[in-house]
Amino acid sequence: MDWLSIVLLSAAVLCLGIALYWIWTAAGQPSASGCHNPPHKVIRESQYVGIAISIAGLVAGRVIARPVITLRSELNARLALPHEHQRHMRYALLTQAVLTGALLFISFLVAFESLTLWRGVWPITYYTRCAAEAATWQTYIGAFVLCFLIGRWLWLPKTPK
Amino acid sequence: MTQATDRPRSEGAPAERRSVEHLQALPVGWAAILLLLATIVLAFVASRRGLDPAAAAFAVVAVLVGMLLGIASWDFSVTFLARRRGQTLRLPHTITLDIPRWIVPYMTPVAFVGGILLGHLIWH
Repeated sequence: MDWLSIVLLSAAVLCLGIALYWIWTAAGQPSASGCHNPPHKVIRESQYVGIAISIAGLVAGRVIARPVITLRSELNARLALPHEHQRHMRYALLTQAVLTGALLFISFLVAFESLTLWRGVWPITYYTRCAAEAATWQTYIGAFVLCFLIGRWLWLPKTPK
Repeated sequence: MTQATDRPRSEGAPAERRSVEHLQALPVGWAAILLLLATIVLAFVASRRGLDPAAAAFAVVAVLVGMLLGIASWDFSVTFLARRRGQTLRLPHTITLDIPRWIVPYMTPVAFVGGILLGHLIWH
């Protein structure tokens, strides 16, 4: 299962890279815009299709992931290992730093969304809807891959009584 | 934010250990919840006075994420301080929230699915 997990993770990252490149090139060509202003909330496909694809990506990410740690006690035990202590402490600090950085990035995004709504210009939501309207299946692939990657780490370790 | 039921185990001199444990045990989560409640009230009042309800609602989301950022920054700072003092902070053994333990690993993904549903079906 290890090689399958790594191959699928690499494929997901590659798909996301291709989607970002595609968005970048499409945004630079005015003729590429194929959505309404404001973009439609409901497109050709039912909204439940998008919901189902996102949830499928989340579950697939969980199934394919290789949980290294399943219990809180295992995590704490690693920090107590005399020879490995410093290395695991560095990992713990790095993980906390990445989490803080990710939350900072998301804070900027939601603040931008709130500001654009207040000012009456296109919020981030509209760009997503525009993508779904103009290029439906590519957007579905992007949503699946994103939820797949999130699904690999979103589950918390089990908590004892 | 969950509260530790047992004291965090750490090394180092007792006085230094106590100061780090004190920092770790400060109820910053409760302060964040109070701030969030105040923002909800303010957003409700602002929307009644003419602010776009979607903008007001997303301001609450912005504060919610900012609150999580504040808690994460606090935890990171305390862990960093502890490491500089040669101490190790570990996760609390368990949580004090009175819920069945088997639910805990599923709380975050279920909340994420809830966000997907809200975003698709209710968001403006």
